[in-house]
Amino acid sequence: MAPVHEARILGIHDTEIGKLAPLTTWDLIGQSTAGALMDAALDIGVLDGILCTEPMVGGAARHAVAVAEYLGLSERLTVCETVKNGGAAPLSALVTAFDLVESGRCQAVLVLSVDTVRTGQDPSRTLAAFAGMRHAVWEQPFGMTTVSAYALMADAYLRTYGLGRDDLASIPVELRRYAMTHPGARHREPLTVDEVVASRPISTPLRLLECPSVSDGGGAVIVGRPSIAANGRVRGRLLGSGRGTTHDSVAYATTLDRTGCSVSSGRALTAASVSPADIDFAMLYDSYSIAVALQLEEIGFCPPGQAPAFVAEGGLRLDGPTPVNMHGGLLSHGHCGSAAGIQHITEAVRQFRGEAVNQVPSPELALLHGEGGVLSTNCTAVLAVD
Amino acid sequence: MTPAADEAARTWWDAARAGTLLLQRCTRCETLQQPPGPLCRSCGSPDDLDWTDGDGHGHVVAATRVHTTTYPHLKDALPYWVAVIALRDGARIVSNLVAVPDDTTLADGQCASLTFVQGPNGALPVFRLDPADCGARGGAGA
Ligand SMILES: [Zn+2]
Repeated sequence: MAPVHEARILGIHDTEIGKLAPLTTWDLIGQSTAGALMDAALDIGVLDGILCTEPMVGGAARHAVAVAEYLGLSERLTVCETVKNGGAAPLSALVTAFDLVESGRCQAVLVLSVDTVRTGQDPSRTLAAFAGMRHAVWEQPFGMTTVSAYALMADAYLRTYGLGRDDLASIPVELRRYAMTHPGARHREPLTVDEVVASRPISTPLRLLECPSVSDGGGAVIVGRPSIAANGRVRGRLLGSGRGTTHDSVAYATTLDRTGCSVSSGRALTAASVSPADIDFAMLYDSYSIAVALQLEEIGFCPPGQAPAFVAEGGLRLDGPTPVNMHGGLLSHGHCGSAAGIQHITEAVRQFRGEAVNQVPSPELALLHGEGGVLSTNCTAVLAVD
Repeated sequence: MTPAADEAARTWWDAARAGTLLLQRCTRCETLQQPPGPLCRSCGSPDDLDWTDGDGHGHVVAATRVHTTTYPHLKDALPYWVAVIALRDGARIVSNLVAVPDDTTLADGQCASLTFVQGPNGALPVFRLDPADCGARGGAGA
């Protein structure tokens, strides 16, 4: 169905990433909203929609509505919803924002995704929250952790393709290469494959340096009709999107060979009428090393079983076939709890504007993927420069 | 029992705690499903579900040795193994591997069989590694 209205990304904002106390989730909401409006050169009065991801720490019971009253927007909003589907939430909210503007229901939608999971609560509560993400009846009684769930995917993957137990180690190393030159990244010290392999096992085959460390932070994106913006900056448009799921928990997964990423990305590429070879860069949800390998293969950036070789040979670099996560990704730029993934979107827009730290030369097409759980919720979007 | 459990889960866990591994079988399409539920997830039938005793033999599809846990009550049990077992009967189950020697490298298609350990709420169905071929299909078969 042809859109009634055009929609573009009009403004973006990133917060700092790290230990941000005494700043709270609400400070970051204020910062991100003001920052995105300033970037778009828009007054707050143009907003008639808000989509908020639900923070792990510091959110309200009816979060988006609480954000609306906090910003003085309550009555003027025609859409005000909290999005809660794990790591896919920021990208899923972005796609919904495009739907709302293209359908004519909204003229400008604020996508807001911030969290203070690092300093906003005691670390033991954060650990308990992560444990609570596994299935209460069929996984928790056996002590499955979130890392273990990804570790099971990694073990199955390495066995299926006869790969070595160290073969995923180049993934965090390649993302760190980008973070090292990015002043906003949380982890900027050099990293080698040997250091990844030597880091302590968390849940075999995954080691410490193949797992994210959580930070505070987030950001915001404004999607709106291009006619309301006058700043003339390069804006991204949505060419196609897809959502997909094959399971929520490992206990219900009928196969570990394939996830909802293949479903959502297939739908997005079809909707956009493009193939992986057309994509100039990708923003993948690198919650763990294995997540990158599975996404590269299921989206079709490299053949099954070949992601480790593809990465080790420089496949993710600026001069490689598919630059990925040029800000350093969740593993090195930072993982902000429920807001993880919002800075994948803002980085993609910076790339389109030609303002990125690690700039892909004149990119025209980007693929973004977000996933939550253990590749449980999946959302893929193909964005085009505009 | 956790509030997340339904009637099928209560039946399954009651049996497990008493030392029996139950598998839910659809008599219409002959699918065994784990976890059990209110209907057959293969054919959709809500009226043809039955229980059968699993024979308890299978192979390891995927396994991980957990060195850091988010469960305070399991800190003393570290390291422990979590695995996905493909049962010979046809269902898959998430469980633990027990009595795994420290220097073990799991073979692809490693056979395993059911045993029970005492958990905080009764018997817990877990798996031990079998040295011999259990007749499960080889390869990782993830
Ligand atoms: Zn059936």
